[in-house]
Amino acid sequence: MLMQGHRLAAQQTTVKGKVSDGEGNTLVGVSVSVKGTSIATMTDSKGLFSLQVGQSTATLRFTYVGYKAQEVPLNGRNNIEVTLVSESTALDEIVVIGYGAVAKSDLTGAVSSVKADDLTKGVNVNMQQSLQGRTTGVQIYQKSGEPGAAMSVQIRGITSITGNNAPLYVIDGMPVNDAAAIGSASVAGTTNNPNNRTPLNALNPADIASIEILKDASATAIYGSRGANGVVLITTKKGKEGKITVSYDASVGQQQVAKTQRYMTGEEYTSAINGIIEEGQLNTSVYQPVEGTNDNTDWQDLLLRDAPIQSHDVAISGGNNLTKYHISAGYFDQEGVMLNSATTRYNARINLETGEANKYNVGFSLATAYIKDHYNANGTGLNDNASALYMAQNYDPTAPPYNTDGSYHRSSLMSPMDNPLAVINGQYSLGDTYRTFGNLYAEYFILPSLSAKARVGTDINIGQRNFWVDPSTLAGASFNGYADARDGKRAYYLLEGTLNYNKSFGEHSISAVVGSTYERYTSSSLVANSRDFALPDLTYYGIGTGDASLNGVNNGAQENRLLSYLGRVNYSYAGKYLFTGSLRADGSARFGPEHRFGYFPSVAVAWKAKQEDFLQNVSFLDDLKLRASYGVTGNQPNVNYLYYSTYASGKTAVFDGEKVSTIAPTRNANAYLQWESAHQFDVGLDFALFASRISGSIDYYNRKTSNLLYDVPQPLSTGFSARTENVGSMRNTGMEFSVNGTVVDHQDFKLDAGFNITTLKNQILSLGSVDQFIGSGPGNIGQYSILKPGESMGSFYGYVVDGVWQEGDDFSLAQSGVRPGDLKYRDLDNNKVINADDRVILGKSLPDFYYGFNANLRYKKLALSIFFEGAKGAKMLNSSLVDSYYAVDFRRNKLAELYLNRWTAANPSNEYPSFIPGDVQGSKMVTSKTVEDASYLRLQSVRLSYQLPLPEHFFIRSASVFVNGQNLYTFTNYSGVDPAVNAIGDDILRVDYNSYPLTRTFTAGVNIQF
Amino acid sequence: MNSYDFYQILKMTIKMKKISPYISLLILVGCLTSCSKVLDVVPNSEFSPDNALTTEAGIKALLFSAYAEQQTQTNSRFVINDSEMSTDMAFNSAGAENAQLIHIINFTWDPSLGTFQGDVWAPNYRCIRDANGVVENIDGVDASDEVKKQFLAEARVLRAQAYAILYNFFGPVPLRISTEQTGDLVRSTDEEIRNFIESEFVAAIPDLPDPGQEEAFGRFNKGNATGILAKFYLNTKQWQKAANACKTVIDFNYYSTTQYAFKDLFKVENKGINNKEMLLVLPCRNEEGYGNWFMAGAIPAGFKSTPQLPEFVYQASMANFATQYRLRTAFVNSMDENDQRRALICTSYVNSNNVTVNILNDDNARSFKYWDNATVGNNSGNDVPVLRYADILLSRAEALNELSGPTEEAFALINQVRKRAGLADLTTTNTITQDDFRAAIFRERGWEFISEGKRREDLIRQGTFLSLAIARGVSAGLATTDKLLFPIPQSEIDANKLCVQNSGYN
Repeated sequence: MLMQGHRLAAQQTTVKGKVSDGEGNTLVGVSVSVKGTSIATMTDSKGLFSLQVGQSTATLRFTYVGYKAQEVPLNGRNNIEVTLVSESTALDEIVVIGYGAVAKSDLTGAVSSVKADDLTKGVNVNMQQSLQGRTTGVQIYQKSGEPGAAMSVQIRGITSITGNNAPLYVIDGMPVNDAAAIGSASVAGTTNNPNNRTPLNALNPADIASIEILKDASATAIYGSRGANGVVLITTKKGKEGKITVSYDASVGQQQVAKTQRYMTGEEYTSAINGIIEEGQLNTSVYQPVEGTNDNTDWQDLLLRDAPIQSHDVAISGGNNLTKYHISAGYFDQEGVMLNSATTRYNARINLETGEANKYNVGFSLATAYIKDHYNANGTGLNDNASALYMAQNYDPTAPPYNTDGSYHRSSLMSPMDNPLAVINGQYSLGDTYRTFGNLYAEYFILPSLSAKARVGTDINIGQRNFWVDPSTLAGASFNGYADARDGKRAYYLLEGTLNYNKSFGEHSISAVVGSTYERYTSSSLVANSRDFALPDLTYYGIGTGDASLNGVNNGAQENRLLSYLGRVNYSYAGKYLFTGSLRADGSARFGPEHRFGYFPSVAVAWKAKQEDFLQNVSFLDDLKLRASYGVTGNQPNVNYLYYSTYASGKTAVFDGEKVSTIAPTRNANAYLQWESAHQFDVGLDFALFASRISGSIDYYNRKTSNLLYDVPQPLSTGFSARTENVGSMRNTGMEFSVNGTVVDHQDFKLDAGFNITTLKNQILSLGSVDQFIGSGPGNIGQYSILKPGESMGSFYGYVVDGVWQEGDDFSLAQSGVRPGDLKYRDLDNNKVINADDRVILGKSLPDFYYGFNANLRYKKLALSIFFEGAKGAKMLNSSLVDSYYAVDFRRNKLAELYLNRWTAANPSNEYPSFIPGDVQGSKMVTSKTVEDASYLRLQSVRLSYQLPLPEHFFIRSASVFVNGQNLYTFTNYSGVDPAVNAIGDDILRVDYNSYPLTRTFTAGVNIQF
Repeated sequence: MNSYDFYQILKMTIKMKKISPYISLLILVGCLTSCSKVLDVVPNSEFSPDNALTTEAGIKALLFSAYAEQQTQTNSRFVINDSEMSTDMAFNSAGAENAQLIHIINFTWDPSLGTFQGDVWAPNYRCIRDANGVVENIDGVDASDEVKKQFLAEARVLRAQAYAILYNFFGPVPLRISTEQTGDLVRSTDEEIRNFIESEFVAAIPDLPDPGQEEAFGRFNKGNATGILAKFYLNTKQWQKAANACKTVIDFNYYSTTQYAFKDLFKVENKGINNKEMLLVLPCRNEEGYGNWFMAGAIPAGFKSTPQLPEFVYQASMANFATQYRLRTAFVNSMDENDQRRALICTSYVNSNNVTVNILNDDNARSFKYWDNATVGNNSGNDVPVLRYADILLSRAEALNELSGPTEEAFALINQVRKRAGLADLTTTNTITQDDFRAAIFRERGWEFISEGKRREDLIRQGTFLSLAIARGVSAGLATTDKLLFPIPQSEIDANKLCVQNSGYN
């Protein structure tokens, strides 16, 4: 009644006006309301509005996505022009999410977005390297210094025990098949490198415009069964309307070995070995002393070199108001710092798009790459099956590399190891990878608010790898040359149809998508090998010239399919309250007919608190948004056909001396196998302070994976070792915090800094009926890890060393036969025998937290950027320590630190044992001495660049030159080659097994735009 | 679903621009739903059981898988070493293998030792799995009754042999006789498993061919199957049955001790069906995956040649492991100077610096039983004997002695073996009592079967397995009667909740 009366009494006034942004563009759809009333309207397509207001003294309120809300008192005016100010550049960004895009300010989920400018610059072989340490929730480490080496990428910890733990990569809307066309192989008993080179090397990092990391379930659930490990959305560069631009980026540099482990020199070795023989009064027919000439060979050094690296990228882009294009070509070439390893990549890409707003949109994105990989004898393995670096570390340093006739020198006491140089020169392979991926899409707007979109995509990855084991090596001599040729093909096909709906009415805004997809994955392989070559000169190119009766051939073909339905609704009310709900149903051919479909829902809400009246006047606060989400994502097994009982080729029998093929059950099938599901809760807060000079986010996540896919150990008495089942559960929890600030913002001088940190706690909650599972490591490491409820994934399991037995200790507490100078293990059950019952958990390979820090300093045209990254709390097993503490052979070379400071009667060390053979306690391999803390802080990159001053209207629009250093210094207590390497294929446990050393790289280059 | 469908949808969607968007949604979703049978994917490189196990070729291939699982060529060295380094015969140092063998030597082995699982338990149970598959499916196979009877007999003998090996290492084990018996299963009683092994052999042997009549060397015949049964009887001290079974083998008059000199018995060129000493072997080839790796461990460090075995020409391409398979000095010294079996024992060699190294002492002698000049890397082609005719002769002699003391036949049997070794006959004048004869039998068995993995079971039968260990310096607290059985592998105990560990290993 009062209102009514008031209004009647008031004088009606019509106010007209225009809303634009700071650059003179009119703004369409700006919400205009009279403060304190429900009277509201929106600007039209010309940015104009007209509104009946009660009083000419009223205040109008203007709100618009991505812009600061503004209140304008009319003060009697009836025609006003309003300029809205962009909220902040960061919140203005459009962020790609699965099957769509939203303004960053409207995100409801935990999504990290990294633009190309914020990726680590330098020469990066793949996008993962440039993303390392740049954002919260994503742990990336380079597993070795091998060119093109595999990266470990984990988003918010470990999800699965035996399922996949790598995120899903989606390039320009198409999920990519992130599996190598040809897996790792050990040919002719030579070393095997379980780390495949990253298939993502086929994507040129220079083509990337932005990377979005979807972390919480609200963001990932739209990818359903492949979302559990997070999703990495990669958007490549598109053309822009305007004049053609041509850019050329080049960098050329040199790589050095960052660190090697120090082994004994010839003199040190002679003195240590002979000293131990004397100290232990050893029988010299069993333990032969070092005699003869000393060549002081540094075997590691012979395998290593400084190596060049370079990259060149050319891109042409442009377009008109309808059609836009971006065409690029790239060349990348990296030689390894170990002999005979290299990678070379040639890339080309075309992104083409044509369309008219709200009418249609057609385009394609197509990339192709050829990668040539040279592989040397790098990998895991023991003795003669080991890598060249293993042999170099272990080989007699008094022996010469070559005989006087130029042939490789072999020290008979080093058998069965070969001369390391023979191995690095004579055991190698060449890989050719041809990968083409891309997709075509067409979007048609049935109504301005409703469009239908279809997408067809493919990813074809064809590889060939040729191995050669030369007769100049011991392994090659035993076969008289061994060649192995492998063809592998992985293909992926996508069909996708979606309907998109976007509509705002009043304070309500809805955007929705529904669709379905069909995806097909195929793989096939063909392997042929041959040996005994009359003339080995042709190496693997002469595979047909071996002894045909010894030829081997094999092949395989597999297929998987996914059929999915998806839907998502984003709803916002008054620009303050945001809601997202999504559902995906995935059917996978990897499960039996009854269990194929899994359903993956999610919900998220966000509250843009800053938009509330009560925060409007808090001037230091520019933005405040609270988010919460919950959802379910899935994971399917890595392996096909697990539900299917079949027979396949079994162990070959021998009768009458001839080989006879057999068949045996393929697997212990599980018809009930189903989806692993991850339930994730996330709550987060985004903020911006002090005129957005400081902005950041805080998130808490809690992800419980249940129905874990786990190769449950079966009683071996069933004839099967394991069966993939859905048992048990685990939880990952943690906090993510990131902050970016502009410390100084002056026209000539600007300093930005950013910091991010992620904590991680993983805990196995249950393993079903299994109490614990103890796993074995590579080489001769034996049992080294444990899965146990209550503990973290990646737990090392072994013995505690309390010191060294000293003269005068109470030996009645030890196993009979233990001597002063032997290691003193902790005898947990006091039974005077150190055995499997005395093992404890020695730590875990997952860090407690990881972090990154960057600072960008600009003075006029000179810019300096510095970037650190690190991790704390992870442990690593160092196999070089294992080989020195528990030497495979007495006469092998060992780590200098251990042997030069060993226990002797005169030097009663409590740190290192006497190394006199015959410790009755045996080789324990995995101890508190060999499992080391691998925490580190690394100065990952420093870059100095200079923007060249150019005359106006010069044919070169801009040009800059830079120098760059990567992996410059590492602060760590870890004694091995690097605290972040991992030589085993597993990304859960970490083992430094004679790892290919990491490199320190210096490059210089130019960026030119025409 | 194909691209044509998609084209149609696009076309229709464009045409229907005026129609409610919900219709196009329905078409999109509906089309894909109708295609959900696209998720039926058949593995192209695997056999369906329905087809594979109903043909003669298919069931034979499965039977051969059971054989193949028994043919543990490469890992045979671990079984040999487990059975000899726990005794007065052999010793080991250095190398990766020493990590396990040191526990075998010191009597500190525990259930986590990988060899029990990897070299004995798992392969024998895989053999049992596939033999069970043959037994279950043989009725439905499209083949002649004769073939089916023979395959069934071979499968049953393979399975019974596997159980006999497991029983020898671990005592009674879970008795799985059907592929349907998955999951947890209790250990059988001692009586059950002994009855099972015996009755399976007895039932199956009549359907096997006579010795030499088998389709290929390496498959079961009446001779080798009866011999394996004889050894089972002997190890379970069923003396009369053991004696009888050995007699059955001898009476085939097929096997012989006079064909080759002892030192030539194991040569690659003498292997195969024509070698009348070998009843059953693990057939090896000098090829990765099928090789006998024993020599690579037996060759001493820096080995170049030995004057004791000049025929053996060592080449750099032959592997010489870091680990050292050694023979104990006292054991080698117990052999007669003239024992021709010494020809395959290396006690002195010339190293790569042309220095002669004497290795008789310090338990550092080497068994060169499996030397092969065609060795490729680790892989020698010498078959590993599972059962030799000398074993049949000595087993009957042992059984007869246990039944009625050293009879004339018992002397004849042992002397048949000694003769080939170039040793004088034993007689009632030097081997007077039953105990004397028993001691002579076990000494003879030791010398005869070096590096053939028989020593542990022999000493256990003789009752000296523990006392000899204590005599070597193993503490009495470690050499307990519990050690007469090896522990059930920890992986089985963890996965099979009904399986109870052997006494002393918890």
